[in-house]
Amino acid sequence: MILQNIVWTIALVGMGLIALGFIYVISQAGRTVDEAASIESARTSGVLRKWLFAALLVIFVAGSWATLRRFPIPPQNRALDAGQVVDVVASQWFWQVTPPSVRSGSTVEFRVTSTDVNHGLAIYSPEGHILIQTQAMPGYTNKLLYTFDQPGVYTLQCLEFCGVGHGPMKTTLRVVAAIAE
Amino acid sequence: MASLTMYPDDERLAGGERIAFNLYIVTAVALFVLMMLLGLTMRMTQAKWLTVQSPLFYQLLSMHGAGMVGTMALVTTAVMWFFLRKYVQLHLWAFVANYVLFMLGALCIIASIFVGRYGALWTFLYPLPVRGFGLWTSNTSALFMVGYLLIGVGSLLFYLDAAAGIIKVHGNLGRALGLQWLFGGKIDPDHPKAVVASTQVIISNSLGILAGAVVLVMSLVNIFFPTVVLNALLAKNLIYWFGHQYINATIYMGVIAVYELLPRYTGKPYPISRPFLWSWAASTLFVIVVYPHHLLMDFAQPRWLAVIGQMVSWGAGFPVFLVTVFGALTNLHRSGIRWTMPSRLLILSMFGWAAGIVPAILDGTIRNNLVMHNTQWVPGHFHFYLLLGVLAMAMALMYHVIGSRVSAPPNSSADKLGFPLYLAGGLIFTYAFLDAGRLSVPRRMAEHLDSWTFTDKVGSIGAILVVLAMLYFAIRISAGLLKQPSAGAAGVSTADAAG
Amino acid sequence: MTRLQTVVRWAGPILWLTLALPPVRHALESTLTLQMLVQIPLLALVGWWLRPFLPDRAVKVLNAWNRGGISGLLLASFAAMIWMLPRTMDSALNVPWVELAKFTSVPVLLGLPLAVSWPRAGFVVRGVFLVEATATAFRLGWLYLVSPQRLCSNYLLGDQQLAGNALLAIGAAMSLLLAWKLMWGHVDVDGSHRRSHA
Repeated sequence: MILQNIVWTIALVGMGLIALGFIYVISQAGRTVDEAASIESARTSGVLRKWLFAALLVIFVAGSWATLRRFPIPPQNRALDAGQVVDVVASQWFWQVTPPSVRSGSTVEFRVTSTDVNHGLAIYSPEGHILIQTQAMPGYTNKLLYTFDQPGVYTLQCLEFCGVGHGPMKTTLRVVAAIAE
Repeated sequence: MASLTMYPDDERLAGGERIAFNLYIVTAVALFVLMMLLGLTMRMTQAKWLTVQSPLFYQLLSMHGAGMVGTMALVTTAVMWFFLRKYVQLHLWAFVANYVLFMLGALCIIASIFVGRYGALWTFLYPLPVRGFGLWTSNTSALFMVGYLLIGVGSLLFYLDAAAGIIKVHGNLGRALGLQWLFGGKIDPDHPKAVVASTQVIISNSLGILAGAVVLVMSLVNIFFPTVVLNALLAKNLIYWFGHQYINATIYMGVIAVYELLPRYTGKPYPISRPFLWSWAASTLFVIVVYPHHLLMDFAQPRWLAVIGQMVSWGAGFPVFLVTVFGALTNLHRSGIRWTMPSRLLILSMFGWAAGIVPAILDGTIRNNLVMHNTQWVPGHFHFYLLLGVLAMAMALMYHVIGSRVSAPPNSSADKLGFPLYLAGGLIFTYAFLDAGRLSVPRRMAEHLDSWTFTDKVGSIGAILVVLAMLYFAIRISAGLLKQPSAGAAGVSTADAAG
Repeated sequence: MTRLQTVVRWAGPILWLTLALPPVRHALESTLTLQMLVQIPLLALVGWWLRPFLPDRAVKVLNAWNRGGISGLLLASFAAMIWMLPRTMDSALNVPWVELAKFTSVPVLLGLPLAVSWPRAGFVVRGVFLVEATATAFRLGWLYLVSPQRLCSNYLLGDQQLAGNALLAIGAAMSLLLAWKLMWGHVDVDGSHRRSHA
């Protein structure tokens, strides 16, 4: 499953749980209870909050550990030693990509910069979903690592608004099958 | 402790206060309808149901963004003022000055967009404003920025007046936040939640406005002295630090309406507590330091900033879920509430905020941001909590106030139709954005591929429903506000209202 | 009047004369940082200390035109703005009458109006003034750091960088000080506390 679908599923489940909580409370809201029962529900609510706090804390710690343990962005201040390097230069409103094709199966280092305004480099799969992205900034070079599994024609689309030519600002990247060595 | 009296005397709008409040609200609801129409136009353009040329599209996008952020700030400032003035002395001149400066700023922005054809969006991300390629000139961008400066000065005047009032009563902002009770001591049960929330907003948004004042003037210097070249990454940090705090302040100003009004409609007290103070202390810190989550894709940023951006985004969920929303639901639970427009909107706003945070947290995770950043996921999550959260908070107060003009809380048949229309439209509209994010549809783009138009069409249909509902609300609220207050309404207790 | 009070009363003119002494003047104008962050602030202090020399009648007249201290603070801001421009600081070194203008206008149009207006300003006016002053420190610091060419022909680029960093530090210090005072300190809002304690 691609990452986007995982994120979407987690979002739907999370928002759904919240909705269920609301629906439950709303369904109970019209009832009135005597004092003893309301003291009892205040106590229950206090206990529930503690459990919720514990659950969120577990999610927070485990989630942070799982998503940050291997930092998702490559180090920017040292050589990355990738097998292939592609220089990407963004300008209003075109891309210069050298070389314009890479081999699948070995890591590619994209060195991304801009000559004028902020742009964004998004690599779209042949099926049309984003694989990875970074910003293209004037005065900075952002280094991005990606390994293509499948040969094919990938699209590089600008993903940071950069003026009226932003939408059409795209080009292709050809990924060819690795030659057996 | 908030009073359970439905319309307490110290909330009465007398003379100039009433005129000022009505000006704020009528202006805001009219602007909301107009800005929503611009939004609908853009969604329908993306759906290919309308043809709007790209330059105009980005002008509309600039107007929609700046207009909505500004109007949200305007209307939630009115919410803060409405309640805070009961607890500390606020001067009407500051409230009015904010309005006047807002309108002057809005005029500058409107002129720069529709006369000067400015199209570098509400974020004025350096150096795009000076690179309009002939579509707009640098002077046009300067006018846009001057508009922001005017609005910022207005906000600052209002916050400083509020700070003066708060400090006069509570000594300093730390005590107003209740920091002295975090680790013990007997919490003053009458310490107003409105003061705590307002103090948070004053602290964070003043810092935001300071950052905005620096980066706006430096951008202006760059416009008039192009040899002064700014560091684009530094400018971006300041812009997002300012922008994040400015828009987030609207939530924290708006939620005061929930704290104040919900107990009146449920008839159950909603006392202040230590977890409440902790949550506001934490969120004060969080809102100041969380902004790097907007720059996760700027790999040149120091790594620790990105880590802060992710971890604080996650942490920001705690106060919302555990305290504000949980507290509101506990207050609602078995309260015997009778549903009317204000109470419906209050609970909707809690749902919108809580549920909208889920996609926000997911996007604030670096790993996910690599595939979700700058897709329509982003407008999906922020429309969720601005449309279904903050706007609902503000409209709850508006409906509450027009209820004082009549004998019973507002709940007409048209209201009963308008509310589900707004809710359904809002859900369709926002989920279409989120789904488009899943499908990697970029945000802020005039030209959409044919394969992207399905979610555009669904989103447009949702938007049409929202616009219809909002149009009705705007008319209903404006007409209600302009009615004379009824003499018998003040002092109607919850028990009477709930029958 | 005690001797101490006499000395304090004459502190302004004495400092003024001291700053005008050629060796002091040359020393303080040897670098941009010293001129901008030491000499000009001291000249403003001279103006602040000239406040006792204003006759009561003049103060009364001024106050009528200075509601809430706003006019005075605006005047001081404009004077400060002029003397923050690298070009004016530069020509003060080359053109005698500009130097003379600096030695008179900074005390009279910056320091003195501040001394007259600050006590009259309420919380909001002071707040706006301080926020704007802090923002200006950051802006100028940034400007000095990124200016590609020397803004002053008499000073070196390295000096300009030093002044830029110093301004950023001043901006940061002002922000922290203000934040600390508002959060945890004691703030006198329109003198109400003073009155109630008296």
